[in-house]
Amino acid sequence: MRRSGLIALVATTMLVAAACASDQGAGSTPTIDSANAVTEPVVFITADSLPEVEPITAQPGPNAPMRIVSLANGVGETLAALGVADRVVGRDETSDVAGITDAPVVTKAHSVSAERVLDLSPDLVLVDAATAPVEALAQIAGAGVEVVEVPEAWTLADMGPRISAVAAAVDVDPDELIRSLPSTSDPDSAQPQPRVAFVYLRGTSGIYLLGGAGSGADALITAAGGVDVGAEEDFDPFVPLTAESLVTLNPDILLVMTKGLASVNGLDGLLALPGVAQTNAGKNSRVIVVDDEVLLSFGPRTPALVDQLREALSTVMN
Amino acid sequence: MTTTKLTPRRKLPQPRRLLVVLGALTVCTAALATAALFIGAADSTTQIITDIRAPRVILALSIGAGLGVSGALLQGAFRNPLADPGLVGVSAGAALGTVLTVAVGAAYGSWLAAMGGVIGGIAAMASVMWIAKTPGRTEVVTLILAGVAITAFAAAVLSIVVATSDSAGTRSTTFWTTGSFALATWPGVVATLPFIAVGLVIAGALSGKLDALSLGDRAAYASGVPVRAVRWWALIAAVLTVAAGVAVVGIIVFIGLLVPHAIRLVLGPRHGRLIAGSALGGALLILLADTAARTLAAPVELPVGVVTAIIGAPAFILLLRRTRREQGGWA
Repeated sequence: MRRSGLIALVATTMLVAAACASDQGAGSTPTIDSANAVTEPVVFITADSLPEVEPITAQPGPNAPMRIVSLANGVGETLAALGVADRVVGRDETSDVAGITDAPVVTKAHSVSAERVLDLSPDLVLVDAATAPVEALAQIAGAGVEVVEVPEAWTLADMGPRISAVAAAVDVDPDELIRSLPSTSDPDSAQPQPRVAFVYLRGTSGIYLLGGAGSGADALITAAGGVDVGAEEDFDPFVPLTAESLVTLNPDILLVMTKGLASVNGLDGLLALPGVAQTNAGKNSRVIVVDDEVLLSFGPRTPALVDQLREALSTVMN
Repeated sequence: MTTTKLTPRRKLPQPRRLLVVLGALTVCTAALATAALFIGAADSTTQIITDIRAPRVILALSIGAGLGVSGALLQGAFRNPLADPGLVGVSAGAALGTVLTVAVGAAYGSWLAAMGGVIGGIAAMASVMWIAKTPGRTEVVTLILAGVAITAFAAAVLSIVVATSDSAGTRSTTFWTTGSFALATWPGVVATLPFIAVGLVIAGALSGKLDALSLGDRAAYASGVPVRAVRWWALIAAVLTVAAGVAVVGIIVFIGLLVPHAIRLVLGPRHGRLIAGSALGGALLILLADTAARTLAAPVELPVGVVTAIIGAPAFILLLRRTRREQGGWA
């Protein structure tokens, strides 16, 4: 017993020492403030840095829906541009644009709460193929609310059809909006094309999800004059990638979302992840951070986003 | 008073057999560890080996050893062949403790998160003990059922925390049920290893007393073994050897249950060799599973817990049937 008592004492001492040591090293809260500490080429593209969405002058028809709930990915931006922001009474997390941010979010972790939607007594609910769960949507439709599925948009070419579908649902003439979309300038093929990896991070969830062909980011990267390494390998969108495979792909630049970056404790955390640290992007800390709500919305702000992305590619490479 | 036998009656192994088995395990583990440093999607440059593969291999070895020893300790302390850190609620408690620590701002892979895991594991262990306690003995079935209840409760609270926490660092619930070594780093190794090492040292020191405990509480007490103290120390060591690991890689099932059984079949029930063998066997199995997880489906990473469950569940069923046939039951 005396022997085990001694061991206990040693063990306890070590545990206490361990606890004390941890206070210094790891006690920092996960924020992206560490960005300030990194002087290397890192570009942040925030929603605020993009031009505000200007509503068009066309007015909704007399029978247009008055209480709209927007659950389709990033469609809030399109609704604001169509001039019906004041009719949006509920939204998902991705529809975060000036004018409708007062409307309550009725999804949690990308999952729709039928009860909260119906509580808003909407007369139109906009969804897309990714809105989940379908049971909740069936409940909403079953309660007599009009549920309209608009096409998803994962490329720049998809934007027009989706804007038209949204406009038809809210009974606004979209021509002015579609015409006003600035055409993005063509990538300069003479420039070297940096290899970009779109990495989806959530709390170092044990694996990386690499955006591949059809993730949406591939279209943006291509339009901005880069090469999407995931799409190049013909990966499906969001492959759970081994750290070593990321090293093998060896991107020049990492494209991440703001909340994803926060979930790995900021830039320092990102650059310390195994697999990231060993790539060209990691070694030179070439990172482009885009606010979650603007990156994959494929709405009226997307052309400006592509322009900023193009600028960011050349900033971090030079 | 229960007198559950730990193993089928068989001759005690020869000393030479002990050496051969432990030696073979050591050689296999060392060989696989060396090989694992050179297997992978990327070219085996010094940087890839030292920055990515080495911490992963070391973490797999130490967490595997911890899981094996934890199972051996729990089975010995409870005289219960079904005890395992996953089944008695320790793993779920550790996962909850870690998530709560991270939800209030600690970073994953940090000392603080590992500490949260250990505290959660101890809390779960203490709860299970309290639930299963009846005057004078700890019932086998009650213990397992208490573990099931605590696991369910901890998993539910964990899901709530993950779903509602504003801290972006809280991981997906999937991570906690399938585990992964994918983001193993040196800081993760440093945060885990001391806890496991302390647990292993306590386990080694307790081995003789655990042998006495297998005679039954009363007989052990009569022969001068402080039964309560030994049991509590064994449980603390069993938590230390797994909980910090859970904080870094999530919950890995079946290893703690299977490895001591397999070792006992080969080396017999004495705890000194059982603990040494379980440490080596657990390290070997987890390293094997993790090497498979990162190479079989490359470039896709499989969760290591999926690999261990795929191998472990059928092996466990075989073990169940065999033990039932030879012993006629559990309780």
